[in-house]
Amino acid sequence: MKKTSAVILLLFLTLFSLPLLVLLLASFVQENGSLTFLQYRAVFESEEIMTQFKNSAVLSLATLAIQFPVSLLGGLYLTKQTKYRAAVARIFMVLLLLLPFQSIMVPVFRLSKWTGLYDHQIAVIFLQAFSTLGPLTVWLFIRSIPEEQWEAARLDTASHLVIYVRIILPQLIPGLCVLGLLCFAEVWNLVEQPLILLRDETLLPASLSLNDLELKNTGPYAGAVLYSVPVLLIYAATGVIFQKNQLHDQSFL
Amino acid sequence: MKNTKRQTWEIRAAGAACLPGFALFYLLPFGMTVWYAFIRSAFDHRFAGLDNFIWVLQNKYFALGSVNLVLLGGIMMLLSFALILFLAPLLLRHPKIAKLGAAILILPLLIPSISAVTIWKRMFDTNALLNPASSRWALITLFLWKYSGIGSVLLWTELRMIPAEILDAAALDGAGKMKAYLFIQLPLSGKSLILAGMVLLMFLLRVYKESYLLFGAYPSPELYLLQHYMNHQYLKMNFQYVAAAAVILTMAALLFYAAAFLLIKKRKEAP
Repeated sequence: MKKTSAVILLLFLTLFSLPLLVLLLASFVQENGSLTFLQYRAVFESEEIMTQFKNSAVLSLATLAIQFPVSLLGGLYLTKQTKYRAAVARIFMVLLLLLPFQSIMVPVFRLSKWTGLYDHQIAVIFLQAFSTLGPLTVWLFIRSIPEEQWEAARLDTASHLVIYVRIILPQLIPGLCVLGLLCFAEVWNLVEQPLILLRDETLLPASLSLNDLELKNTGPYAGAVLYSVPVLLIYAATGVIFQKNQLHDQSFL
Repeated sequence: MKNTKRQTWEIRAAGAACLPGFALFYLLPFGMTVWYAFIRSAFDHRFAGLDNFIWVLQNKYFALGSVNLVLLGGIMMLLSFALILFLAPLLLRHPKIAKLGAAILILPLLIPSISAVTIWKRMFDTNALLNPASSRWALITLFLWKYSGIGSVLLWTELRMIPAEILDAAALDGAGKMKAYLFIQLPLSGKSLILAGMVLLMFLLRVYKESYLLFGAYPSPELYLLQHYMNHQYLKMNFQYVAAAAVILTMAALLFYAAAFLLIKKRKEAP
């Protein structure tokens, strides 16, 4: 019985891996069935695709550069609020996180017009950087650390910030890596926001229109594979950091 | 312990660094959405009462989008939950495979939709006008592949935390593995099930991304979602209707989330 269930589990895991394996294989196969690197060559030779990849990288890295400090400070703010205030703030933040982008699409478009940010990547960057995902996740991580640690550290310093930076944050490194991964994956995967806020095609990220590009009849698969590589690398690195820190994932649940 | 003056200032500074951005980019736009829903148009700010809501609710495309979202969403949620309930105990039963299994199950969530769609277009006929059935399955399977894995891992994580003594006691009382799973482990894992439900609902409301990449901005009527309706009204600059539809969608989502929160709260209070 145990063997059968192991086989079923492996079968499902293969099914889950299959699309990625097929994608990888398809990126090497030509129409006549031969295996070549032609698709990859076409991607690297396409100025349009490289521009879109660069746009995605600019959006993701710039967003993370703002989002991380904002999230860390937001997490500290939520942690140190009175119970009532923190609850109200969190309810608003959770609600706005759960709602689809369409809920705020029109005002975001109009605000970007009024502020002159429309058709600039900074509009997408700011929108994502102040997403409520970061502060909420950091708050969740901080919550897993016993309050006694704050109180014990207060005997040595009167500063919340010092305790936060020296005592609390080092314990959150694996969790912060997960947050980084989630935030990066989200920005790397943006569709609606650039669709609404960017008109200039040379500013669009690859997540929006990689499939629309001409790949000189070589096939779109290599582009799709290459576009997944950064996320996969960060995912692997996060896994390594997690193992090194021997952090039990359930402590955050 | 009471905060000192310095600590109070530090907390205020932390809030000042993040709250204005959050208010400007999320809270203010959301407030504006509500306001837009009650004015005549973006260019005529006279109060319109409930006219926009009545217009939207009587619109056949809004109805089509809503019905499709509920039907497709219902199928996606049901199948996702079936998969979650099936895979989580399998992971629990095979600890040697479980870690690798969890990594594989989480992976699709991180893969960019554009990459996933590229291969889905090869596997399915995604010409929504010519082959709506295949297109529908393309969207459903893509949702299952991308988002049910994280739910399975969430449930598996909570199942692992159930003390073995409880299951041993149940086995002594004659409960089989299936019975123990259905009547002991699942009820004890309610929190992660609710959390998985909320996460799935969040992704369901954002499924427009995958739909747009698979079928473009104008899919067949079978795949026309509420989000398509909102985008089309947006392109026509009927901002007041987009806002009214957004408020209706928000209210519906709020009802679901409120129910989930109440369930979690009830579980927390339970002895």
